Amino acid sequence: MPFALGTTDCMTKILKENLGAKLFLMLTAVVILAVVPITWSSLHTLSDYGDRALEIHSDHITHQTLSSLQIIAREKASHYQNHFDRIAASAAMLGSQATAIYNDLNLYAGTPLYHNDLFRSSLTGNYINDLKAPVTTVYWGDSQISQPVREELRALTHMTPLFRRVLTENPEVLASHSITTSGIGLYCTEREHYKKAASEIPPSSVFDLRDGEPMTIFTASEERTENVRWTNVYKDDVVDGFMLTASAPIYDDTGQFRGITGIDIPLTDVVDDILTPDNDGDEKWLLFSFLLDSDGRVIAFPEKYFALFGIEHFPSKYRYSSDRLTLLLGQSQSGKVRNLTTSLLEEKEQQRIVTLEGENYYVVTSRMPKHQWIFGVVARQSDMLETVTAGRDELDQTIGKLAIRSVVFSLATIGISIVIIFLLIKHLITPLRRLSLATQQVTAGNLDVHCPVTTNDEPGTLAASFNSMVIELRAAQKQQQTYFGYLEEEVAKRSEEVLLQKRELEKTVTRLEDEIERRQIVSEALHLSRQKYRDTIESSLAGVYIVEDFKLSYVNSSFAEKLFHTSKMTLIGKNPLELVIPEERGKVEANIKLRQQGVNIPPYVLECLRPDGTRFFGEVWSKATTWKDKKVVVGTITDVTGLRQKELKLQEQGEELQKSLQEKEVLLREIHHRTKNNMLIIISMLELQRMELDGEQQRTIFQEMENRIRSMALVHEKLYTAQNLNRIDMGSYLNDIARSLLSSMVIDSTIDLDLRAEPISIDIDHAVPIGLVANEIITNAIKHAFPKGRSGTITVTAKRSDNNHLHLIIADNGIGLPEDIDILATSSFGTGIIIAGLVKMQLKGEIEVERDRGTTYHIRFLDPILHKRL
Amino acid sequence: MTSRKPKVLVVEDEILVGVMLARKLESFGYTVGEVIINGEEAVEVAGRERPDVILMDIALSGNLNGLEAARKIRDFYGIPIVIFTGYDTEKLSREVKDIEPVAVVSKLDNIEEVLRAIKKAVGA
Repeated sequence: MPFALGTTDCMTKILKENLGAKLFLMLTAVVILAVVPITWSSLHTLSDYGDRALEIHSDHITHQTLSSLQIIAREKASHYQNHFDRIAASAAMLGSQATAIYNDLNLYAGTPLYHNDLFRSSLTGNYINDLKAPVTTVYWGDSQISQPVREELRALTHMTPLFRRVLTENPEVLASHSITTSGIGLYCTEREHYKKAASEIPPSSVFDLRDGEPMTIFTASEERTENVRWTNVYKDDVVDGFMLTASAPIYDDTGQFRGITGIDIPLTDVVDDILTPDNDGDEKWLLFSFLLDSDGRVIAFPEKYFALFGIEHFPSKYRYSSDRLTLLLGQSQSGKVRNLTTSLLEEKEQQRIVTLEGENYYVVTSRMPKHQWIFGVVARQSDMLETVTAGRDELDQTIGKLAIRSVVFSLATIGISIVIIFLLIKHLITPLRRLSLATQQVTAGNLDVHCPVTTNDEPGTLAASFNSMVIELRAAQKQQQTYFGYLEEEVAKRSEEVLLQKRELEKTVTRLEDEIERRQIVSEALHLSRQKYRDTIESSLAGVYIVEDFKLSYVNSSFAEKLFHTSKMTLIGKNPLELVIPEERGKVEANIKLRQQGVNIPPYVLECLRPDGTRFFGEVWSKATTWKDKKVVVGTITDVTGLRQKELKLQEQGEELQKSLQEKEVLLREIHHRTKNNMLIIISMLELQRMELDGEQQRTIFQEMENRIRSMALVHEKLYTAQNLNRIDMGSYLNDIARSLLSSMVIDSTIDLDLRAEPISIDIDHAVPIGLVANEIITNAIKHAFPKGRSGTITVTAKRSDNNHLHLIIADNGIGLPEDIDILATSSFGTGIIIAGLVKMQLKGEIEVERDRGTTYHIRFLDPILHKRL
Repeated sequence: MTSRKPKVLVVEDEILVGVMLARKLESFGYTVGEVIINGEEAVEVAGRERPDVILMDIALSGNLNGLEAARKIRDFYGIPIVIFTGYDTEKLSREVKDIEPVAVVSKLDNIEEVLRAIKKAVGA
C-alpha cells in the first residue's frame, strides 16, 4: 500500500505541477468520453435486435408446435379408435352368426359340428366339457341339462369356426366367447391356462356370469339393440392387465334376447404403445402421451410424471391393476391440473400451456370419436425452443464478433488520438518548460541564464521578456551584495546582545529553580508539621474544637466520641450552645462573644449536654484567633466530672472537718473556761481561808499563792478569749499579771509599770512557766524594792534576740538586792524553785540577775515556735 | 459613810466564789444577803429586797442568763449593776451598753477592783 500511495502521490504531484500533463489528461478524457458511449450504444442496439428477433421466432415456434401437437393427438386418437373399431366389427360378425344360429336352432342342433359331451365338474359342481375340445364349454343354468339346453349346446358348436377365425385374424385378441341366458358359457382361446380358468368358473350359487358385464350391458335396458357395445375397462380374473370386451347381442327368431357373444381384448398393447416413447421421427420431442377415459380416469399415464401432475399414487396398495382406474386426473393435488382436466373434459380438442414447477408445458388433446376417451400429448416448452436457443447462440456469436470489432476500432481511435494529442502538447509546452527551467535557475541564484527565443507567438514573447528581466536582476544582485555586508555586521552585533541576555536569563532560571526547591522543602516541612499537628490533635485525650460564626467547624475524635458519645459528622456545623445545658448557655454565649472581641477569659468549668441527653462537667480552655480575616475560637474541653465530684466531696469533707473543728474549738474553749473557773474557785477558797487566818506572814503566803494561781488562770482566760486557742500574746499576758499584782499589793506607794513588749505569741506550755516566773519576780520587786512608800517603776521588756531566742527583761529601779543574797541559789519556794527551776528546767533557758540601780532579771530561752517541745 | 450599810446582792453561779465575794464585801462594811445562783431568782430577790447594787455574774444556771436578768432588773427596778465576768471584759462592755452597767469587772481581777466598782455604784 505505501508504494501505491507513493505512486498516487507522485501522480498527483505531476498533475499539479505539469501543465502538459493536465492538458494531456483532459484531452484524452474528452476523446474517451466521445468514443466509449458510441461504441456502447451500437453494441446495445445489436443485442436488443437479437432479443427481439428471438422473441418473434419463439412465438412462431410455439404456435407451430401447438399445431403439430394437435395433429399428432388427433391422428393418434383416430388410430386407437380404428383399432377398437376393427374388434367391434369382428364382434358384430360373431353376433350376427349367433343370431343366425338361434333363428334356426333346430337345424343347427340337428347338425352339430362335433360331439360336445358335458360332465359334472367335481370341483365346481358345474357341467363342463373336456379341456381338449376347441371351445371350452360350461353349463351352470340348472342341476340337470335339459333337452332345450342340449339342443342349444349342439347348435352352438357352429360358432367354433368363427371364434377361431377371430383369434387368427386378430392376434391381439385374448378370447372370443358367448354366454346364453340359459346359462351356457363358451370360451375360445389359444392359451391353456385361460381354458382351465374358464372351466373352473365358480358355481352359480357363488357367481352367475349372466349377472355381470357384458350381459348386463344389454339386459339392463329393455331397448333392443343389435349394435356392438363395449364394456368398461375391467380387470379380468384370469388375465393380468386391463381388459375390454366388445359384445354383440343374440336374438332368436321370436326376437327374444338369448345371450351375447363377444371378444376380449387386453388393453396392455394400447397402454404400452402410449407409454413407450417414440424416439424417432416427428414425435421425438414429445415428452409423453396419455389416455384418459371419458370420465377422466387414467388409463395410460407414465408414472414418472405423476408427481409433476400432482397425482397421488401408491403402487404398493394396488391389489389389481384395475385399481389404477381409481386414479382421476381431476383429483390432482395441483389446482392448475384440476382446471386443465375440467377444460379437457369439456372440449373435443384442447391446446393448453401449463406451468408446472416453474416450467411451461404444452398439453394438447383429442377425443376418440366413439369411446370419447381423451388422448393427449405433452411437450416441454424448453425442448421445443431448443432450436430457438441454438439460433440465439449463433446470433450471440455474431454480435460478439461485431462487438470485438467495434471495441478494437474504438481503442485504435483512442490510441491515435492520444498520440496526436501528446505530440501537439509537446510542441506547445516545450518553450514554456524551457522558460520554467530558466526561471528555476534564476530562483536558485544563477543569473547567467539565457532563454532562446524560437517563435513569435505568446511563449516567444514571454521568453524575450524573461531575458530582459534576468538582466535587470543581475544589476539588482550587485546592489544587494553591498547591502549584505552591512547587514551581516548588524546581525553579529545583535547576536552578541542576545547571547548576553540569554546568560542573564539562565541565571534567573537557576535562581528560580533554587527558590522552587526551597519552597518545596518548606512546603514538605509544612505538610509534615500539619500532619503532626493533626495527629497530635486527633490523638489528644482532650476534646479539641474550632468555632466559626457560632458553628463548630472542627472537632477531634476525643471531642466527638469520648466526650459527646457521637460521631464527628453529627457535630460539625452545630451551634456549640446546643452542647451545653440550657442554664449555662447564656454564660457560654457571652464568653464566646467576649473572646471574639479579644477579651481573655480564664478556663472555666461548665456542664455539657450530650446529644443523647446525658451530661458531664467539662473544663474549657479556649482562645480567640483570626484565620484569614475571620474570627474563630479554638479550644479544648476536658471531662472533669470525676474531679468535680471529688472536689464536691472534699468540700463536704472540709465543711464537716470545719464543723468538727469548731465543735472542738468550742469544747476547748469550754475546757479552758472551766479550768479558769476551777482556778477561780481555788482562789476564792484560798481567799476565804485567808480571811480566817490571823498571822500576817500566813496571810501573805496565801495571798502570794492566790496570785500564782491567778497568773495560771490568766493563761486559760487568755486562751479562750483569744482567736487562737493554742497561743497567747506574751505582752498582753505580762501586762495583766503585772497590773493585777500592782493593784492588789501596792497600798501606800506609787509604782508604775513600763511594758515594752514586741508582739510575741507563746503556747500554753511556755506561757504558764513564763507567767509564774514573771509573777514571782514582780511580786519580789513590789515587796522588796520599794520599801516605806518609795516610788518607782517596774519595767517589763519582751523581745526577740539573736539566735532565735526570746529575751524577757524584768527590771525595777528600787533599792536593789542586798549584795550577800544570791537570790537564785536560795532554796526558798518563790525564788529558788519557781524562778530558777522553771527557767532552767522547763524553759531550757538562762537567767541572769543584774544589780545595778535596782535589780534586773534577764531571762533568755529558745523561741518556742522554733523549738517546739515534743 | 452613810448611817445605813449599803446592801449588795451577789449573783454568782459558783457558790464558793459568791460566798468569798460576800465575805469580802461584808468585811468592807456592806450588807450582803444570800448568794443567788440563777437569773429568775435574781430578778425576784432584787424586786423584793431592793439592794443598792447588784454584782451580777454572766454565766448562770437556769433559764435566764446574767445579761437577761440584769436587763430585767434594770428595766423593772433601776438598780445599778456591776457585771462580774470571766469573759473578755472589753468585748463584753460593748455588748452590754443598753444595760448601762456601773462597771464590768473581771473575775480574775483583784477584789479591790470589785470594791471600787461597788463604791462607785452606791455613790459613796
